[in-house]
Amino acid sequence: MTSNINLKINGARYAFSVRDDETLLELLRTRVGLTGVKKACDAIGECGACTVLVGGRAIYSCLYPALRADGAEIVTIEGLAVDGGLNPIQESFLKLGAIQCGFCTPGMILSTQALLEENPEASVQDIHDALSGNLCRCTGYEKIIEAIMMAKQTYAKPVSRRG
Amino acid sequence: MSSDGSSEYKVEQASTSDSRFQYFAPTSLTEFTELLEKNYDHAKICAGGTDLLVQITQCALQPKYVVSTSHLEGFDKIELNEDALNIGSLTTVRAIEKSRIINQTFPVLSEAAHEIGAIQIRNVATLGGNICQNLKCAEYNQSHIGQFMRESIKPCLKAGGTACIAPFDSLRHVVVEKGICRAPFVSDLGLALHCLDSSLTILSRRGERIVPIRQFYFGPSEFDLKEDEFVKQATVSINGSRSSSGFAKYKQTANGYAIVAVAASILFETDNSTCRKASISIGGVAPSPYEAVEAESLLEGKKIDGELIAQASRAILESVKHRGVARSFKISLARSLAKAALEKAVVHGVDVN
Repeated sequence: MTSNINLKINGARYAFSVRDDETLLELLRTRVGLTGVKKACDAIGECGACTVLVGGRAIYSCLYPALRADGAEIVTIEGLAVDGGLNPIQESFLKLGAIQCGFCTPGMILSTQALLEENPEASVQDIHDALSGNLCRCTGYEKIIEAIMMAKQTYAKPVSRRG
Repeated sequence: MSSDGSSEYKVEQASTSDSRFQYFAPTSLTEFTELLEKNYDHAKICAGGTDLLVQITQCALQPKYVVSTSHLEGFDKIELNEDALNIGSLTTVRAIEKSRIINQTFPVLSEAAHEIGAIQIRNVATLGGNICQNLKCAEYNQSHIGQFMRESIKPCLKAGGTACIAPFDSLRHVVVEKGICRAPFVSDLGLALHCLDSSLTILSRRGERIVPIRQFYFGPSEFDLKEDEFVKQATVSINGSRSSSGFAKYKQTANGYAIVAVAASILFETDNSTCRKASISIGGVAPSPYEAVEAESLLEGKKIDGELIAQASRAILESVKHRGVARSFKISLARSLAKAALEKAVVHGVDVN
């Protein structure tokens, strides 16, 4: 026997029947096919590759029981696009080449999204703080910080403030 | 919401054959405490889950039942009244970090909260979970490599073995030995509450009891909490006169636990410069919060200035005899962090008043 939950993922409604120990990470990757949510350290809480937004807040989906997310609104990297185009954060990551292997990128972008929603005027220190839970094994942090500083300028304009 | 109306606890029943544990999410406190009592020894409370799920992954804990607090309401309030600050145990670490009330009254708490994990952890982790977290030790429950390593050697004391197998001289273990386990005390909020001399309200089917935090952390890596009990709130009393506090921590990775952390608070006389009572609690150096009495006694009754703070910090852990390289490093770290925490406390004191 399993239990049923309802979720809103990237704007669409879903109903699932989940196992008791299923994590949100497992659910999003294997059932919904949202492989932009990466599985790396897997339930150790070290790397941040599995970051998703639950109710607008960044969390580690590998440490979040799926049952707990019942009724929640979830945004993954796949749900960030604005009207079919890239989100300003994605655009600036692309423009500045803030990507090496790309594995950490979804998590980095979602952490940035949560940061800029909360504090559009974030300083470099705030960015360091907000991204400290996302590891990049290629160590390409400088470009990422630069890209966020650039995204911040676009983001501050009210027109493009959409999640 | 779950539509499983057939189960008694409105809980998510599932077959246990394929799941590592059974998950309950009771909606009332009575159901919650009943579940804990009924499944004594087999149930674990999952508040944020950021420690519990890691412990389960690392096979350090294997509970049959996980009882979630996610549907309990009213335990996440921060309230300030005339004589005390009350923080509900299900308040997230992030809320404590951001709370203006806490920041203005006991900055040591918000600073400690800020130092815990990354934002993704702080958004979910709770006060209660942080102060009741499992001990952290490579020989017991830390790191992937450790997990494979642990399978190949005999179990440590905490995992059912006969002796502590942790190295004597190590960055991630204690400096002051108290007992037989070398895992250090690493709860940052526990440390902050310890230096503020707060008390905890603990709840179970048997009723409520109030435990001063210094008694709560009574022994090496152990605390005064039965399997069916739940920490309801932390209370910090306000004693009217000018007090100020600060926190300093050294960790090696964003999500790493403290190598050394220091929480300090100073209670001033009415002249606003003489120290009536100083409290310095150090984490990461002993199996329970280490109270630096040697430094506190140097500060008390004197006018606080930079020189006195430096002198008091130098006295910390002076009595520790056997030191290796790592232990010496941890001791000097404790001293410089204590200095930083005390200096922060003085600065906050000026801001607050």
